[in-house]
Amino acid sequence: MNSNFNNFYYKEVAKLTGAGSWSVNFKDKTSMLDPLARRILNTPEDFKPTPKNAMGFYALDEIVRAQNFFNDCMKGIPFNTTIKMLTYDKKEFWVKAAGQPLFDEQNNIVGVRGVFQDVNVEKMKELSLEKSLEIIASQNARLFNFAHIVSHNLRSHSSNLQLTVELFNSLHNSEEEEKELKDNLVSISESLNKTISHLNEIVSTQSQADDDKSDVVFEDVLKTVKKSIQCTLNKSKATIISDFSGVPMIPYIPAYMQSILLNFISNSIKYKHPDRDPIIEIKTFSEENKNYLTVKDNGIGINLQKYKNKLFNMYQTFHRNEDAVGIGLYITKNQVEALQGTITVESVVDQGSIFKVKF
Amino acid sequence: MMPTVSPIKVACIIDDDEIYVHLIKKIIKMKKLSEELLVFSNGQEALTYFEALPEKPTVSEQNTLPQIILLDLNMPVMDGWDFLEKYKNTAFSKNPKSTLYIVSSSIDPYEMEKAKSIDSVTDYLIKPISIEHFQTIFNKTV
Repeated sequence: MNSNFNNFYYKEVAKLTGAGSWSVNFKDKTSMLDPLARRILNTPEDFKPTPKNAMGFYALDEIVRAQNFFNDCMKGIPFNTTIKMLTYDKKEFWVKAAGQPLFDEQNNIVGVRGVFQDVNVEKMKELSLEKSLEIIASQNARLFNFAHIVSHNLRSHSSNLQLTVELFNSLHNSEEEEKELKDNLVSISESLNKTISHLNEIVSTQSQADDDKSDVVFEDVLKTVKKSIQCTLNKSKATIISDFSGVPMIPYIPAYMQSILLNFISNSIKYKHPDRDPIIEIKTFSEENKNYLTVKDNGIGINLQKYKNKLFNMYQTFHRNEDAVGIGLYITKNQVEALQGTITVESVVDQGSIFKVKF
Repeated sequence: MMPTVSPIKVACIIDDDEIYVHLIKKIIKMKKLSEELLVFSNGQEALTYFEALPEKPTVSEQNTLPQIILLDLNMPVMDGWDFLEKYKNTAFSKNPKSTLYIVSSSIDPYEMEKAKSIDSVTDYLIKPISIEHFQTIFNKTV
């Protein structure tokens, strides 16, 4: 009676939590799935569980883990985990699973038994939450960097402004000195304007990300970009070699693609090697269902050991180069990331750099 | 009121902001804060100078060395932090007659905290610094 009593409660708990029970006996070579387990695994009526076909219910990338749990159990160590399983008809789903060693009458471990519960809905929610969290964290990092820029750059202008005014107000300014100070005011207001237009550009990157994408043909974008910097290209004697046969077009925001290519190409020219004419190789290809764009140059390269972490930050310039502003790569990264892509770089000093965009 | 003799013989400024450097030059000249001013536009240029200094300067050489260094943080080529990392290995950084101030427009608490932990840094000053404050710093160094 006691056993029936327990049985009743176990069955109710199993129903309520949606948990199935199973056992595998390696000595008798027998296996058991209770009705709930069968329902979760979607097995046909006549399916006969055996120790051999047990592993077929685990997702391919989880089989090693599952086997380890079984092996541990055979040594007397129970497990409690979340693992990806397969239904009889090969659909992946997540379960919470707990297992214990199975003993025979002589108290020898002969197998494993346990319960599992379908937690697919919850796990999928968790995974999507994790993904959102990642996106939010990266946005947050960019915002933090942005706030830092605003604070730093506006402060440096305002500080110059304040000093200039202080000097203006102090006595003994000759006419010449006053003119110098006035010139200062002009340069400060110019720099201030420039900073603000940079900030504008960044803010608009973020807000345009919601705009509609359309099919962007790489060849066409390159043509437009080349045209817009024809003069620079001729002057630098740059050669551009392109191969878009791997991926001729992708859905993207046309303006971004143009800006991305323009930035890479003008960087390659800006940081060309003094001893050779720039050669820029642009290529698209696809790998494991992802599309890539690479831009390779033979320029002066970047010391990545030193600058890797700062390369894509704003106002970071690494060369004593007059037209280095330190905003191009920052904007490129923002545009790529705004559309859930990533950007990486490889470089050897004195040999050149390769920028790689994963769309 | 105005001092007739400069409190300092040589001052040094490491900063890439040309307008700022220009303003400091004016202030130093006007208030006669230093007789001479060395200007470097990034950490690398300054480091090259400091590394080339003699290990045991003679008395006359001592008089040509900067007594006060104003270091910016955000600069191209070599920033203030990288400069400090290398500067601490120079013989000059042990010179008791010289003080180094970080002068930055960054109000990042992390950077301020980091600055405090570096021995060769006397203080972290936030731009803008008033003319009066400059006078105080220069007079304090004597």
